[in-house]
Amino acid sequence: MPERPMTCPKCGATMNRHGEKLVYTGETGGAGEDPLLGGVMQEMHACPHCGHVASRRAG
Amino acid sequence: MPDPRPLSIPVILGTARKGRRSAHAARFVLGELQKRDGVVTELVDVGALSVQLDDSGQDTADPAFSGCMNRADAIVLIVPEYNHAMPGLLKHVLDSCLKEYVHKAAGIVAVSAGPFGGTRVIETSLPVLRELGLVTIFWDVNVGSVAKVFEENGLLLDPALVRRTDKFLGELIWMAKTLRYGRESIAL
Repeated sequence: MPERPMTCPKCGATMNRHGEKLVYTGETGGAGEDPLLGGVMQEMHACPHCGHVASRRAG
Repeated sequence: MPDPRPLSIPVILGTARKGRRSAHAARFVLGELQKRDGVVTELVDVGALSVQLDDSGQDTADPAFSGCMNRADAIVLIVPEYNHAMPGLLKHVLDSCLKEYVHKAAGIVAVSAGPFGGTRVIETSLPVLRELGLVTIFWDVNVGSVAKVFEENGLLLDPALVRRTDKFLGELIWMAKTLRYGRESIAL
């Protein structure tokens, strides 16, 4: 279970964090930035109730 | 216990070119998907989407497209081969989403006017789909010499396509079910 479970914006159920993706952007600083890997880490979440998927910056 | 929610598997017609024969392949695959129990499908025509040409990348999608990709458990890409690669418009549309694709299944139906059946567009598309977080299957459908496979009115001339598409969709559906379970039940 992740430290901060994400709530499904569609149905309110607790989502499952099933993936992470390193995204390279021109931005520096802020949540999710991983200086060692050189990008911003995005968490991928899926809702076990309605199937909706969402993402947010890690951190 | 079986999941009561049907799998959503849209078919993406990846070209807007006038006179596109890929539309015949798209309608054919759509029809084959509609015969499957437990699957809902729809045709997504990249030529009918509202596409931003002054921006690109994640979160620039047509809301209808991103909503469709969010609901999807798998996608079928109908991809004509243009100079060994996918049409630029399809790449632009695919690049407009990201989270919507991660850990979802993707299969390619490649279409070519010549005899090679779009084998080269499959090879050049795989790294793109992988980078988007899609999980590609190891079955493809190759529609070579498309003018001999479909009549101008879309009538199927090659019965072997039915068998090949059946195998392709069987694998895609298996992967879609597996990945839905993983996305929703297995934490990273």
